[in-house]
Amino acid sequence: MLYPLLELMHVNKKLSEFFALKDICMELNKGEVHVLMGENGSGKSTLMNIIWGALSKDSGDIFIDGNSVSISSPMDAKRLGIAMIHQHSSLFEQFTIAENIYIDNKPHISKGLKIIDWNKMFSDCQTLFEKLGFPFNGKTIVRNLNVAEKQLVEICKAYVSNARIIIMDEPTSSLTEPEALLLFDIIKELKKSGVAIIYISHKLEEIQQIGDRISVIRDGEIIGTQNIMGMDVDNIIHMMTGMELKERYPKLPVKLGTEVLNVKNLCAGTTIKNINFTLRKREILGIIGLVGSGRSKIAKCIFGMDKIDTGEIYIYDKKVNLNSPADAIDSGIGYVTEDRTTEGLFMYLNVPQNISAPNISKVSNRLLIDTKIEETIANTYISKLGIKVGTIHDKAAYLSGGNQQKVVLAKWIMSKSKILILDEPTKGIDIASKVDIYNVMNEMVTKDVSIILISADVDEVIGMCDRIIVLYNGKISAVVPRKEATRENLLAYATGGKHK
Amino acid sequence: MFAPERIRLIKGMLLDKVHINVSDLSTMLNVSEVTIRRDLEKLERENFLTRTHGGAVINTQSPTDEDFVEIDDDPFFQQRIEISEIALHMIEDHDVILLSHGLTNLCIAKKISNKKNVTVLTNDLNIASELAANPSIKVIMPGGDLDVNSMTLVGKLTEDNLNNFFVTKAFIEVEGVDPLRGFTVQSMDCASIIKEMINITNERIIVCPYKCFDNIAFSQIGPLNLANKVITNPSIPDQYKNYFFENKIQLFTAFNSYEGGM
Repeated sequence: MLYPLLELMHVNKKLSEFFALKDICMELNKGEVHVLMGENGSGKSTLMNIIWGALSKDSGDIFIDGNSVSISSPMDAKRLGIAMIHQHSSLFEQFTIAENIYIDNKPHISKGLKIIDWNKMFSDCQTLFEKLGFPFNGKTIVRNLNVAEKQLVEICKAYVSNARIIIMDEPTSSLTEPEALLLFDIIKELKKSGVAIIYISHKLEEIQQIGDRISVIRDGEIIGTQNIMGMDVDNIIHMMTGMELKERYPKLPVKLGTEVLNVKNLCAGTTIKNINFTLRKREILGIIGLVGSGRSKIAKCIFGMDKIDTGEIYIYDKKVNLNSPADAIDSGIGYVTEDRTTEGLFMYLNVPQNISAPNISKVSNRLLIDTKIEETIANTYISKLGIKVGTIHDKAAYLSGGNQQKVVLAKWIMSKSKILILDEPTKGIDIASKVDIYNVMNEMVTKDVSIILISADVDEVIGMCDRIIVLYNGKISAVVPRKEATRENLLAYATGGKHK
Repeated sequence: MFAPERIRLIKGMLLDKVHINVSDLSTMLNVSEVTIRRDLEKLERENFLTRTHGGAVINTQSPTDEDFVEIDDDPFFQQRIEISEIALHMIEDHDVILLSHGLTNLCIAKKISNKKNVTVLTNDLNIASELAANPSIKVIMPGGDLDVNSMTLVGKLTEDNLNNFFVTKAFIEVEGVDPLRGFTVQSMDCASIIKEMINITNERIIVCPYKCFDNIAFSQIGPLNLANKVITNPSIPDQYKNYFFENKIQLFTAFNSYEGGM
C-alpha cells in the first residue's frame, strides 16, 4: 500500500481560552505542493509549529511514510527531514551566506577531524547559485543582505538540506516579482525530486501557478481540501470567511464632517505605491490588507516615522511636512502602534509618565515636570477609562495588554489629537477591554476626532468603520463603503482575486 | 483655549475634587494665574464656588447643570446624562421611537429636542410632558390606568392599545440585569407593559446605569439575549462585556474621558 509522505490524524492543541486547533486531519503526498490558506489568526502558524516541532500537540498522531512518529523538538523534525522556512529570517546574521546554507552539513576535510573544508564549501555554494541563477557571493555576510535576499538564502538552505518536507510560510511576502519566479523554479525542481511542500500563502494567483492541492483553515479547523486544477475561487474565499455576521460591534452612527486629511500620491520605500485617500471629520476609516501589503507603513509615513519618497499630505487643506513624530503630534496626529510594548509605551516608566509623554508642556511648570499635576491628570484617566492598576506608580510593563492599550489611548486623548491612527488596537487583548476600546473610539468620534483603523481582524473593520481601504501589494485595490462591505468582497480585494 | 471651555474644565475639576488651587490650574490649562483668578471670580459671582487664599472651594449644593436641577436627588444623574447622549446618536430625524418609563429615558426625552419630526410613543406622563414643550415632536400615549406613584399608564387597556403601533426603536429602561434572571424591573405592572413593548419594535435597546448590573429586581422581563443593543456606563463587570460581545449584542458604554480630563 502506498502511504502519504506525511499524515496528520486528529491533531488537537489548545493554545488559550479563545483559541485551539481542533481535530486536524491533513495529508501530504510525495512531490506535492499543498497550499494552506487561512486568515491571520486562523491557526496556520500553530499547525506548522507542531509539524516542525516548535510546539507539542495535545493529542492526535503524526505519520511519516505510514509510521507513527513523535516530533517533540525542531531537532526531531530535522532528523525526520522536515525543514521550515520562516517568514522572517532565522539566519545567523554575522556569518557568511555559505556558512548559513551549509550549517547542518558542512563539508569536512576528513571525517575524524572536524575541520571544515572552506574551499569546498564556498565553491559548492557558488555552483549552487549558478545552477539556481542567484546573483549572490557565498562570502557575503548575511547581515548585509536585505529581507528578500535573506529569504532566498533560507530557501537555498532548505534546498541543500535534503529535507523531504519543506514548510514555506508566506515565502513571497518579501520578494519582488522576478525573485518570486526564481523561487517557483526551485519549487518545481524540488517537486521533481519528490520533495513535498506545505506552502502558506494568501495570494490566489501564485497559488494557482504552483499549488497542487489547497486546504483552508479557519478558527483552528480545516474547513476543506480540494484540487487546485479547476478550483473555484469564489468557493475558496467563501470557505475562508464562513458565516454571516450579526452585529456585535458597537458602531455609533455619527454624521460625518468635512475633509480633515488628504493623502496624495504617497510612495515610500518599495512597499507602498501611489496611495491616495481622504479622511473626513468624525469618520472611522479602515485599512486592511494582508501581512506585507504595506498597511502599517502608511501609518508610519503619516506619523512621520518613515520617510516619504514622493507624495503630499494635507491637513485641513494645508500642506504639511511630517518629518518626525514631533511634527505629526504638532499637526494633531496621534498613533497607537501595532507593537505597544516597544513602540507604544515606555515599559519601565510608570503610568502617569507614559500618559504625559507626548503632553509634557501640559504638566510642566516652566522647566520642570510637576509630578503632582502629572499624577492628578493620570488619576482622572485611570478612573474614566477604567484602567486597572495596582497603584498609580506601577510600571507599564506590569499591566495587562488591555490596560496597556488604554494607557496608550489616554495619552492621545490628553493630547487632544484630531486624527488618530490605531494600528491593531485590539490585538492580543481580552474581550472586555476590546469592547471598551470600541466605545472609546465612539466617544472620540463624537468629540470630532477622525480615526484610521488598521486591523487584521476583518470583522472588526466591517463592524466599526464607515469606509474601508483594501490594500494589495502596496496599492489600494478598493475603497469599500460600510454598506457594501462583506468579508467575501474585502478578502477578494485583499488577495488580488478581484480588481475594481 | 477660550474662556467658556476653560470654565467648563474648571467646573468639572471642582466637582471632582472640591478644592483646587490657582497655580495648578494655571499650569494645567496653560494660561496665566491672573486669567485663572478672573475665571474663578466669574464662577464666584455665579455662586458656584468660594475663593480662598490661592485657590477655590466648591459651594455645596452647586447646581450641576441648570436644566436639570429638578432631579437633584438622583444619585445616577450624571450616568444617565451620559447614556442619553449615546442614545441620542441612535435617533434619526423622522424616527418613530418608544420610550418606556424611567429616569434615563426622561433624560433622553429632555435631549431629543434638536431632532426633527420624531414621533415618540410613551406611557410615562413625565416624559410626555417634557416632550410637549417641543412642537416638532409628536407624542403618542396609550390609554390605561394611571399609576400615581410613577406617573405612568399601566394595565390591560395600555397593553391592548400598544398593540396598535409598531416602532423602529424601543428604548427600554430596566432596573436589574443579571445573567440568570435576565432583565428585571421593580413593578409587576411595568414588567407586563414592557413585555408588550418588546413585541412592537424593530430594535430593542436596553438602557440603565451601571448600578443595575448584578442586581435583581422583583419582576422579570426576559433573558439577556432579548436585547439588540445595550447602553450603559463603562464600569459594569467584565463578564457582561464578554457575554454581550459573544452573543452578538451591541454594548455601548458611555465613556466620558474627554470631559474634565486635560
